[in-house]
Amino acid sequence: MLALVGRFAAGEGFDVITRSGGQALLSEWRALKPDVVLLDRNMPDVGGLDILRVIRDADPECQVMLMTADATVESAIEAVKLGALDYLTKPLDFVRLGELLSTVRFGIARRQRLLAADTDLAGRVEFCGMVGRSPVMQELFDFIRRLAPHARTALVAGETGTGKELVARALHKLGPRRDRKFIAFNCSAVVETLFESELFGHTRGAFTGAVEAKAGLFEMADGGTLFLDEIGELPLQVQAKLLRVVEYGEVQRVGASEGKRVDVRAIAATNRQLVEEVAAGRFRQDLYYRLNVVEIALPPLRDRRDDIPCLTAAFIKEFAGRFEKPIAGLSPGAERLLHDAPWPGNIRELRNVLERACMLSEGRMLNEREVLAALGRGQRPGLSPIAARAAAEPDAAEEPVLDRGRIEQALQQVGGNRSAAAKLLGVSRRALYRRLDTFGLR
Amino acid sequence: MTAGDKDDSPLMHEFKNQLSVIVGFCDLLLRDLPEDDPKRADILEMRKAGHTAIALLPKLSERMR
Repeated sequence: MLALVGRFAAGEGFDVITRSGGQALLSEWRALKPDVVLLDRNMPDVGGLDILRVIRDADPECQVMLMTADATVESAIEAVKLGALDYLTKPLDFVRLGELLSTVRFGIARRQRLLAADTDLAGRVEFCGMVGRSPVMQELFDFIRRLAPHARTALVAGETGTGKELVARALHKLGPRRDRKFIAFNCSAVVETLFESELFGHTRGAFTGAVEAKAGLFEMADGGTLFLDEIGELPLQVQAKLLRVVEYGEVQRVGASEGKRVDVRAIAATNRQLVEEVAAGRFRQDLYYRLNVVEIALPPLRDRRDDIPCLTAAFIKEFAGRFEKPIAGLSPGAERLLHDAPWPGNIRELRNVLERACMLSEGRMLNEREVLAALGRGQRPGLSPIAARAAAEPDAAEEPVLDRGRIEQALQQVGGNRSAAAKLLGVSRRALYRRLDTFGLR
Repeated sequence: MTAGDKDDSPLMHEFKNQLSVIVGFCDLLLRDLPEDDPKRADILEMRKAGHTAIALLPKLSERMR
């Protein structure tokens, strides 16, 4: 029967893997990652309906067909209720089977085309590394395009992970200073005492440890753009000095008596409400007004969910390329998960989740399970006992004790066939391989 | 035909399985061979016999009880 079905499916252009028992399939199907499974309902070890339940639970994208020699209406209904694609009777109707396989193949191709379309769209709605088709983002891109040639200072506001630095880079790239330096500086990454020296430089001997004179970031970025991320973290006295530079274009190194003229475009970014910081006396009002001459507000991802599909497509393309994986699509379930997630970390979080999911993925399609795992929510609740067992299987917790003698004896008994030996010993094949490695028997 | 708790049912089931394999390979051959191949007629006979045997199974099952 296996050879028969295998030949037919191979003729239809599928890569076919056959397993002669339910247990063998249960322990391996996660690694095999099939697009479609054809199961016999009556198998000696585990029944087809049980396997159907496990597969539908763990990977709703995997299509399952059952076949049986004795079809009853009740069993057919049960199978279809459990999510089987169809319930075939033997002798198999190859016309019907051929149609079903075409359906499966068509479904896969459709998902791939969808991703290709989203990737294409992402390419067309991309703007300096930012992707957004939503009206709010398109407006924002337009705003940046018009501002870039003129703005000398700008304040980019947005939650963490919304792409504030990308906006700053876009302003730089589209402005007259595109050929000059762009320096990014994160104000939360520096200890308080070093701010001044970092930003404005110091003279030799200005303070203990200042062995050499050093140019600050403003001097280094002269003629270019300096991006100051998390500006709200800047101590008050540094804010005063920053205002002087921004206002008059004059920096004074720590310990220097004279100022120096620089021509720097300063773009500041914040994820805090600076108005509130000003009200609370933690941020200088004059600096705030100087910076927010131009304010660019980035919406959080949850307010622009329409952009999630094309962002997803762009990231999948990036990571599939980086990890050299043939990922060409995303299952409907996975897409729904991504669309509905709260995304407190915004696009950066989405990107990280997809990076993890692509890393985990072993198929041509990111599925719900992989995305869930990447989202860090782990297993779905309500797994059937068999699924739980299959899921727990790689753990060594409940394995019987295997000493070298028993393994050798079992191997001898089955003529060296490791799968059979594992079955005989009542452990998984993987567990057996592990033991074989331990004993150097492999 | 019903599957149930009859004693001979696993045997009948397996028998039908094997007959299905015979019929199935006939189907595969028929798909592969060109329409005008003279061997088709023979294969069709094998296939027909297989189907007839499958149709006889319920009667056989009854006789064995």
